[in-house]
Amino acid sequence: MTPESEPGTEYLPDEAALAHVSALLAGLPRPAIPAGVAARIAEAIASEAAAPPARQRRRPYLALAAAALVILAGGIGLTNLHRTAPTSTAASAADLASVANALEPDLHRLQTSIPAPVADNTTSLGYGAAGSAPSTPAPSPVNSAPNAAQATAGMTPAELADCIAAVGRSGQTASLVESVKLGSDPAIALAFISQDGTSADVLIVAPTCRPGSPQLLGRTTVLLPTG
Amino acid sequence: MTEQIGDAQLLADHVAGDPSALAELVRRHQDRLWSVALRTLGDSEEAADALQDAWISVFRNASSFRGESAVTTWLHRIVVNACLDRARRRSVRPTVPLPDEPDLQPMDPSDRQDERLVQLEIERALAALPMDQRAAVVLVDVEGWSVEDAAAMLGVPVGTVKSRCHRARAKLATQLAHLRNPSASDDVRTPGMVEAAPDREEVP
Repeated sequence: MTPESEPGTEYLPDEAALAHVSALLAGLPRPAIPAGVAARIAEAIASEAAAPPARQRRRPYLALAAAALVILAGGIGLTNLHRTAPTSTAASAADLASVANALEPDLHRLQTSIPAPVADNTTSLGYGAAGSAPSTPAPSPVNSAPNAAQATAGMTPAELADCIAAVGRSGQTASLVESVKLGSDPAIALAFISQDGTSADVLIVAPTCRPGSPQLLGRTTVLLPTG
Repeated sequence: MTEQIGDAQLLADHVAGDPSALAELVRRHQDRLWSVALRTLGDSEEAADALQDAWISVFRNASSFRGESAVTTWLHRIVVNACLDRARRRSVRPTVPLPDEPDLQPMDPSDRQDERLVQLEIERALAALPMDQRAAVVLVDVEGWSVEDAAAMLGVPVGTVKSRCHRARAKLATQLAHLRNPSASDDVRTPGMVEAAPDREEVP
């Protein structure tokens, strides 16, 4: 019996026919990558690599995630924290603290200067003096990172789109998609920047975020930094 | 003679900021990954786009590699996912693209014309398979990966890969039966074949 077949419902080629097919497939030559394609890929990678600007562009978004995590870890209580049914990824303060530690080194510096919240459910995210609320709109970070949403934190683009839909953001583009960790469990930070560029919703979801099961672990609104 | 740096070390070097590490990883794997992308998608432009997407994803997410599988398995999974995603997006296309001539091996005067035609026929039959079956049989039969490795690359259970491969081979056996017995007419089935039933969902 062949795998998972039912009598009378499957192709039943004889073993020789199957062996013939396997031999034909195994005998296909491996095409070398065309020079033009290889060059194109090299160029795309070089563009990514040669982007101090790219890394700089990511800083505000990474900082958004860090801010959300610090807020959650600190239990400030100003965030709209929603948890789904208890799972192994449910965030404890210790877990969230370790998440912050897992973020990029430059984030740690940013975290130390995250000011106090300035409004209910809203946190100012500035790099300057603590407690100072931004008085001018952020310098349109949405437009400065057109490819940020292509970083899918290990999700396929389709999985990411499903997850975004699952958290009620169907059709929107996340300006940040970043892998983080909750304890030993992976999580993903998503940020959606408001149309006026002055604030962002930051969502922390489990990688299993899917339609019908968003696995939303944390959520907050932050004001974007000025200057 | 310099000792070759392992793939995992190259990834780590890339994460640490070595600008040449990823280029070396690309150089090592690009032909094999191109083959997978091309045969999975059956279209060189789509394959090029998918491969570029995949390498950019590798660039950005290298730090998420945890060493739980070989780097090459991880790379294949990213490429296959990029291909499947592109295939899903183009699924409304009513036509099956034929492999482009330049994707075949370079012309060699010693090549026999009939071998090239056979190769084209196989490529055409592969391109006509459902995407999930094609991806499985490309990894296992064309590229020679184990069923277990292919399952890891596709993110599905081993039993699902076996099922998909079996279905793919069965369809190809019918499509390519004349290659086994070139004198038979198109409506002559290989002995042992019975009528096909519609696909059903495989059981992991």
